[in-house]
Amino acid sequence: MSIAVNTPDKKTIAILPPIARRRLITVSIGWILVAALEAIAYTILALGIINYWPPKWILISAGAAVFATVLVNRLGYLTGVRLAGDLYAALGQSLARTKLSWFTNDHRAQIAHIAGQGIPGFMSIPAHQLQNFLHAPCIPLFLIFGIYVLVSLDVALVAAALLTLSLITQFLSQKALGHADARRHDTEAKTSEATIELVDHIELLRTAAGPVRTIERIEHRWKNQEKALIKTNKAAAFAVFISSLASIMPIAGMAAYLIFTGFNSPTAILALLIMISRAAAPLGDLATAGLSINDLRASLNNYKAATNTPILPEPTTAQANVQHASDNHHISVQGVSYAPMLNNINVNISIGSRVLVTGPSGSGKSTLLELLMRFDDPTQGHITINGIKLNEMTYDELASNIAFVPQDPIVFTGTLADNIRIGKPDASDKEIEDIAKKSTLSSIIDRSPDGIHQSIGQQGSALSGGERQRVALARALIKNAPILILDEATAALDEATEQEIINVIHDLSATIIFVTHRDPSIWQPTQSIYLNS
Amino acid sequence: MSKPNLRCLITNPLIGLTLQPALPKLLAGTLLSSLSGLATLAAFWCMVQLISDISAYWVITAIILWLLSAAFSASASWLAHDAEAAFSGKLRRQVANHLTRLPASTLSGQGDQSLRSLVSDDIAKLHHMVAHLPSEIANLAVLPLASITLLISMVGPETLWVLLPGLIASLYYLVVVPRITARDGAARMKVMGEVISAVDDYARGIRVNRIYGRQSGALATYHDSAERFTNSMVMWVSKVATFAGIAVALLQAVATFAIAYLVSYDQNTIILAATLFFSLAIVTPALRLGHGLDYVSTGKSAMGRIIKLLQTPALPTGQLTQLGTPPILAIKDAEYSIGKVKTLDKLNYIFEPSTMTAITGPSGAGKTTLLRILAGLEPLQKGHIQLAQTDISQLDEQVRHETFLLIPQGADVLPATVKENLRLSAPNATDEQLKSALITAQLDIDLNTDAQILSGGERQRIGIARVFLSPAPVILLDEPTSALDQIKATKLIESLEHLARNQDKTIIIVTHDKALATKASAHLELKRKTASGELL
Repeated sequence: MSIAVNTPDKKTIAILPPIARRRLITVSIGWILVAALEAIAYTILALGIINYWPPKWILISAGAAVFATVLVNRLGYLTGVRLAGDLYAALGQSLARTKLSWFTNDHRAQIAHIAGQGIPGFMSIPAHQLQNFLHAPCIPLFLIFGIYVLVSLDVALVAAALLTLSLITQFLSQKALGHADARRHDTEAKTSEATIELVDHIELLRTAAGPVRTIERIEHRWKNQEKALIKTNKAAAFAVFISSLASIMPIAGMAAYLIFTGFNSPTAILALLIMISRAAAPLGDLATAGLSINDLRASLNNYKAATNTPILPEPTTAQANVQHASDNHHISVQGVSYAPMLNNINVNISIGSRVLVTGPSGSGKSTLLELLMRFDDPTQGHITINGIKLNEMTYDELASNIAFVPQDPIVFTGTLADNIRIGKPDASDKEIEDIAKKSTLSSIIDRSPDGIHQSIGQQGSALSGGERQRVALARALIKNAPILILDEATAALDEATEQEIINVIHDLSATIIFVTHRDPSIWQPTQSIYLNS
Repeated sequence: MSKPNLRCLITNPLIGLTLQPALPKLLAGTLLSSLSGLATLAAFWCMVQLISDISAYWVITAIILWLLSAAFSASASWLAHDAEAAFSGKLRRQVANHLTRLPASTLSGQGDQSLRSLVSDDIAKLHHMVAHLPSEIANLAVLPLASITLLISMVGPETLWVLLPGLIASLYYLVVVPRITARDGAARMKVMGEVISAVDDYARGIRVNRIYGRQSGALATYHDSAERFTNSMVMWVSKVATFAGIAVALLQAVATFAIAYLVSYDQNTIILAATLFFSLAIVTPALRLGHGLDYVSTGKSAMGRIIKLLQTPALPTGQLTQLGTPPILAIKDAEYSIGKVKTLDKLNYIFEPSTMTAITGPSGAGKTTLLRILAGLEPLQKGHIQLAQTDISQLDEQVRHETFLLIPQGADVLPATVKENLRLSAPNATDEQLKSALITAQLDIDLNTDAQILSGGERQRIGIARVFLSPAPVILLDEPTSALDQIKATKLIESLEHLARNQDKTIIIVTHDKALATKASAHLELKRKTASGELL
């Protein structure tokens, strides 16, 4: 494996990969530029109004702003897609180094969520979120400056004050509206819940309660929600009122200010009203964006959690080769602890033994097997194979010694042969067919004219649980590794098939380490490890 | 049914009636929403006047108009949501009432998932559309028309050029976007789906890949998927990105203002002001279009599904509330087919009163269907079920429910305590009565236990306990002992037999257990038939 020891400084790793950050910075600069061009266009329009200019410069500046908006928007859409691609790639890269014990069901669900919702959601960042976060606040800022250049500092300050007040009010009223919407949503969900209970238990309800009382039962729950909704709607209407007022506050305030300070140039009034109305226009979006920032941050943090996963350091290939020692596959577990189950475990396993790992459920049987394969490092003690500590060999070196069948077998979309060949990439079709038959897969081979080249469906969906387990066994057997680790590997097989498989395993010279919940005597173990937490 | 259109909202007798009480508020909401927009326009008209006559009068008038506009828009929002709540509440009750009165076969034909989404999502989509359509009409029709009228009357028809950017953007949203979605939407979804499943496959296989030394290969495959995603998506997006960019850019006021200036710069300041202020007439509605009108089409198809459900015929019922004596239950020339198979073919049978009758037969013979037919939950295609010589479809539905107690197969319980579950059928029973019914049903359990944590056998006995709480003269049990052991099953059957004899009840049980069936005093055996009518 080519991945070298890598201990990244977690503080300096920003959430996004560097290439994605560069892309986002480019689009950000673009949006600020668009805001500047737009503010310039409005200011030139105002100048034109005041000085009775012909439309030439107004058209040119507007054209430039429109052109830049088209370009940055296009760039934003495409960057969004590339950003998603970068994030998918970076996710794969970081998972490739993550220690195997991390891949629990919860974490896999988390990855699926990020792939399905998180990353697709990020696609809108460059075109929409950045526009809201950068273009929307820059426009009023630049226009306040324009007003200062055009008229006076006083008027610019008044504009700034009005715009700030409007923004704060809009933020608060949008927040109230957001709460109202959330409550409405909640009410809706609870109402549906009551109705869905009716659907789920309809036969029970109408036989036990009859047509009239069935409805009475949910009627009570509906009524409660409907009462809550009335309150919510009132609160929402009030928020709408405040928000509407806030959005016209800047232009109304400016008009009032100009009149009461005795401003008497019609063209200047028009110019100022146009500028302040444009400065106020993006405030609504800005307020909403401000409210959505927490969601965005949460999504980014989820992504960070899935890409900032624990990794186990590995020596470089060169170091490992130096240490390559005897061919004696002697496994030694020395003073190994792994919280909370394993505490000071000491075991020596000699070559060719058949080792039963046993103990009550939750005693750490699977964990011990996983430590032997270095899914994680023990918190204390160490494990050696051939006298070499696991963390002093490369993972490929360790992997070449071990074949593994988990209780929940992983098979991939593809053919039977593809799945078995994983154990020995250069195996001939004949070899694969032989091992498949030994693994009691004959009945499957015979059921399709394609034999071992038949497809086994999406993630092996065409096979039963027991059949998938036999495929995983065949894959492990063809590897012919010196150590074979079986974690309830025959749990889904009937007893006759299990016996057949065990007979094949008994013919191997490999060291067998296994966990079973059935009677272990048919395995004829030569050694037992009893775990008891 | 033809494709639903928006007119159905009013004209369809099923939905229209439900909407009727909400209509006045919706109309008032539309009116207020329009008034709010018109007040804003009037305020801007005052701003134009202010430029020709600089006086506080115009500013104060404008501020009053703006206040009015805000008040109107808040009231419009309240009215729309209130009407929406009234409509959805009524619709929900209508759908639920209809559901509880549908024949059992219609219900099972609907499929659980589609019913669940019908009563939750579809109702939500429909009332969402009903609430938002009015203000949309104000935004998309009334306001643009009013602004354009003002523009033409104050400046002249040549000002219509200012509408160009908004029109182009609207065309993009109304014509281009739907076409692109129709053409590429599925392909884009597929690309998206592929990368998501690539991530899942990769995370799923990572242990196998590493322990078999295939990590770098798997990572390379994964990177290929990610790259394919980027390339395909860039290809799809770049096809539309420029158009989308143009639409967004044209919706910025800067484009419209430039045209407005070009049209009116050589006129006086008042004309210029009017042109500028009213030039955004269709930009605002076009922006709204940009956010999408999908909710209308989803609302319409939801409405179609709801109407379809409401149109499916309910169980026949009558008005009779009195029954004669003796209450003898009889099947007369009953015919019932499932698909092409005649499950019941001219079946005649008289159930003896005060007797327990067992119905047996191979699976697929129609035992469960017959029980449902007897309980009045499934109509016969021909023939009659008579109780005391009255066809049960002529009974009032509540009386029918009180006369026939069916304990369905499968031991369903509500997510509530045992007590609440029993009170479903016996709302007035005391705790002692509930407890003694449970004990007769071979279940000794605390009444406050959560019914959902019980085993299948225990839940089944909760169902059976209803038998001992019910005054119904006819009791129908579908496989009541399927999850019970032999001893409990035998005891239970004996209690039922006892109940039939001592309290003059007609008890009918469906069972596949031959030994249990022999304990019943009467026996009806059903045969399974094929499409051609052969007996199996």
